[in-house]
Amino acid sequence: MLTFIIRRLLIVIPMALLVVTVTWVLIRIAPGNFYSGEKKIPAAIEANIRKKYGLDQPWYTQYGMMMSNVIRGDFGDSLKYQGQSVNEIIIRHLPYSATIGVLAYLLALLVGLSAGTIAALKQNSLFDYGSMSIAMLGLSVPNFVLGPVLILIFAFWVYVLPPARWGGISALVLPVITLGAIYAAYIARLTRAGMLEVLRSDYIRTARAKGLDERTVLFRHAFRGGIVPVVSFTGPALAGLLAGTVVVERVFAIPGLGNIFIQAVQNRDEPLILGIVAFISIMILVFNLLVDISYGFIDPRIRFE
Amino acid sequence: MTVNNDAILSVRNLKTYFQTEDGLVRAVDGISFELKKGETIGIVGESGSGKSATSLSIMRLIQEPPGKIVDGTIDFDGVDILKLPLDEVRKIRGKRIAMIFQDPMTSLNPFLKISTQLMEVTRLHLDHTKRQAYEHAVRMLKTVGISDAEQRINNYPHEFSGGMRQRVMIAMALSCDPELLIADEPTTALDVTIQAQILELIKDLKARMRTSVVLITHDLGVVAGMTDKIIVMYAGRVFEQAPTRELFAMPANPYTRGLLRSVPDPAHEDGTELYQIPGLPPDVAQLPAGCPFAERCERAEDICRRDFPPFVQINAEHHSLCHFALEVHEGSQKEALVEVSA
Amino acid sequence: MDQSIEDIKGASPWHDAWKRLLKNSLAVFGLIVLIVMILAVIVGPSIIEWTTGYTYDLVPSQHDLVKAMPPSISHPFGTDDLGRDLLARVLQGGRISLMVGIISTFVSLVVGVSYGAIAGYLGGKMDNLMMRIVDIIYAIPYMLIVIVLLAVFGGPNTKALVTWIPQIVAGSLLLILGILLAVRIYRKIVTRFSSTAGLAAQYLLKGLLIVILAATLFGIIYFSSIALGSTSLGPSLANWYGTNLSQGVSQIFLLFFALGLVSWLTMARVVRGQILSLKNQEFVIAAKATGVSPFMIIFRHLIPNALGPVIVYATLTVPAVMLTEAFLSYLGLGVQAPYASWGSLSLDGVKNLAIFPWQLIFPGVTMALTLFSLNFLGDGIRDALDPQTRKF
Repeated sequence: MLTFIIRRLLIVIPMALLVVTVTWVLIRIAPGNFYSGEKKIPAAIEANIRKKYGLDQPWYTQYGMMMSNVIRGDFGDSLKYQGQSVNEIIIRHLPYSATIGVLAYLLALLVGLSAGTIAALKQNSLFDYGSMSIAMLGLSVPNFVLGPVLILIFAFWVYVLPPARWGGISALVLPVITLGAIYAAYIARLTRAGMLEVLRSDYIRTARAKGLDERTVLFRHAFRGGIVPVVSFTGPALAGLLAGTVVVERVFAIPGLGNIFIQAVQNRDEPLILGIVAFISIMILVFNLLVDISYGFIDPRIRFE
Repeated sequence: MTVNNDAILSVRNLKTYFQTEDGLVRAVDGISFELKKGETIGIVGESGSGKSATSLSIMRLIQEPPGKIVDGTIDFDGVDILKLPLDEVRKIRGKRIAMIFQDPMTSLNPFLKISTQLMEVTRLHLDHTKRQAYEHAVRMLKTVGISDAEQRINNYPHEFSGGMRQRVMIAMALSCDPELLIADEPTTALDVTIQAQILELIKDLKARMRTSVVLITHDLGVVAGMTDKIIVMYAGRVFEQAPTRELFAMPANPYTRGLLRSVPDPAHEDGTELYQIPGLPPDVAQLPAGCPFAERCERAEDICRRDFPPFVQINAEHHSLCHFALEVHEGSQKEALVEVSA
Repeated sequence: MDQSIEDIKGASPWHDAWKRLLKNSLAVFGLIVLIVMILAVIVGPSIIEWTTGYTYDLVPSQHDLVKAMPPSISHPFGTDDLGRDLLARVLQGGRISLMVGIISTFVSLVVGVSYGAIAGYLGGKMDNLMMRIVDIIYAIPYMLIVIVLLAVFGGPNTKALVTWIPQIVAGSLLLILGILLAVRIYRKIVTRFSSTAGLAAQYLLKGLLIVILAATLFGIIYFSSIALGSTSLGPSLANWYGTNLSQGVSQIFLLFFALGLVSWLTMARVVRGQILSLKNQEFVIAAKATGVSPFMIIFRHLIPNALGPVIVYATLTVPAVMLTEAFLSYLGLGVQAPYASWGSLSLDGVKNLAIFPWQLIFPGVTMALTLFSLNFLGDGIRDALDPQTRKF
């Protein structure tokens, strides 16, 4: 088990470096660069800057320099935000995105698991049909539509919540709901399907035949098997949450990492893009590892070789 | 039939129906039987004949919907289980009536240790402390013949072989010393050699604990040596009901005769082809008006296809659902005499 | 008697599933809505143009201060900020949105199914490697991939891409053919001369294979060095080919492929899981035992048996891709004006939500209805293919 974790953690590092490499190649293939932006820079100055950032070197030297910096965890300074290191920028903007993302996923878990479980227990009931229809609706409405509609209702018609910007718990409510809605819908559907599958299985019948009450049957016997699909969904969900935060941060004017990333891509701010991509990819890879490990805790039949 | 005070279980006119896409399936359609304390009854029939639905009805484990117990009474120790609220039924399940299922591979929870699954029964019903429950569980595992029980108890089901798992199931079922044990095809999923061991184990434990047993199987060979009486089910009906010895010697129903003839008999191994009842079990969603077995019956006449057969009483303990029950019975009797004289 | 023979003939699993699907009223509803939607999107714009003269980009030359008109008889869905007929725009947007959904899903099907099936069938080290590659691509934000694909091959460079396609396809086909041929010859020779001569030929062919691989590797490095040596590939290619394609159209087509290329990952995982559980079953072993080639085993025996989950996942990919397209349009990377998609129309509507609510309601509801139908159909197909999970 421990060796499995260590080995997988060791794989994460070269994989993250590969991700950085691919990203670097993608940035280089894309036409234009940071200096082909709005302002025209005199050729002499551009040549100077190019020299400073090593852009006059052949590509393999540049790649080597970039990689050696990345391995040391130093992504250099942002091109756009002069004098600020990439690490500083990430650390400054991450908390906004992380708060919203974590809260949204927790909300989605809470709502999705309970709605899905109840729907499975009361299959074909009014609650089942009602909650699953709402879930379907949640899957069919894009979050950039849901966000503004929520703002319109709660901030402009009923003056209960602020429409945008950061500050205070009340400012978190709408972004978290907007971001979490689609995941709540997914998780509710996955939970319902997983639970139905498990509740039909022989060992649940055995548990009932022992005289256990429905609560014990549900929580001790059915829950673990029922949430396996939800656990496997966590990996893709994380990637989706990252994309989702971009929209939510835009709609609610929150200075999170997603917004910074989009700006960096549009500005061709190479160090910043590389830094954010490296950070995100390591996070995704580590989360996938955590998901794999948690499988082992849920299902004893899974062996770590 | 009068209520017999000796009877631990008395099922009367039980009807369990399932609503499926193909229509209403009358899985159990008015069956009645009685089981005395310490007795073993065998319920025999092909798949789809309603054996399992009967046993699940006794436990009130029929999934609703699609299933529903429509009619009848199930008196367990004088109390009608069908009239009890579910909370009361739960106090009986696992404690006074226990059940062993067909497939030991899927009937144990793969996510939980054996110890958890064994201990929760006695903690629930016998108010055991953790320690008591653990010791009891180890004792039960030893009783069913798991030698290194102290170690094995901390294993997960997938670490056991099929036969071992069925032993664990039996240990679990017998934990609270139940008055009635329902074994639903307990050996079908196992190897032949393991089958014999498990049957021997059930027989042995039954004798020691004086438990009444309902043994459900499709294999007449299994019930022959174990049961006091046998019920033969077909298409949700009791086709024949008799003490084991009499049923084997003098069956009064063509279906039972067919079943008996299709059991391989090593004593009469003379190269003749083994008998096989022609055709397939009927579609229980669309039963014909007459006898449901008529299509496959050697002895069928017009009346069989037209009218539903009567439940003929042959003697005090022997009944058969057939228009020609008495004739078949007589025929069997003659054959038996011939065999004895030969 | 004839009746029963008919029944037996028709009792293939697919036929059964189809019958079950038709019993599921929600799935049938979804199917009907989708068919109506597709027909409306195909013929609708022409009908509107014939009857009223409105098209998706016709800006009326009136001088009203406010050009956004609420729904009326002449404009059933109202008009947008410029006074364009919203019904015509929604129908035209439907063409793009549905095509994005269908073409991208098709791309993801072709790539994902072959990749997942090959990884699952090969197993072991190769499987591990192929799935790690998927993990890596997973970890790259797909936005970046789409942006780069659109930036490199978008706009004026589409022509370059178009000219390159035959070369790329021919090159990769030649490579595959070469390898296959080499393997064939190698096998033949090995079986013919199992002596020293065979051994020599074996080494010769191994050497040949290494040379081929080295050559491809060299080619890749050579081309990428050209690409990376000049600051960027795009402008130089643009210079080579000069001419512009119609930018809006080319962007849309690129979007299809870009979205397909980022949405095959999950499909590959789904298929691999299926193949892994299938490949040790008796019918595959039987096929192997009778000497069926791996290629035929994968494509004739394994994939058809894994088709159920694939179809289900495909029907769920279509709405997911349509949402992604809407999201990219939101970031300004998707469909370019005057073209529209349901996503971009909803987005325009969001901006004016408080004053001209119909601008969001009509495209939004149309899109949601379509996604709804697709999801219901997907659920229905899953239930129909897997009778165990169906509702009673």
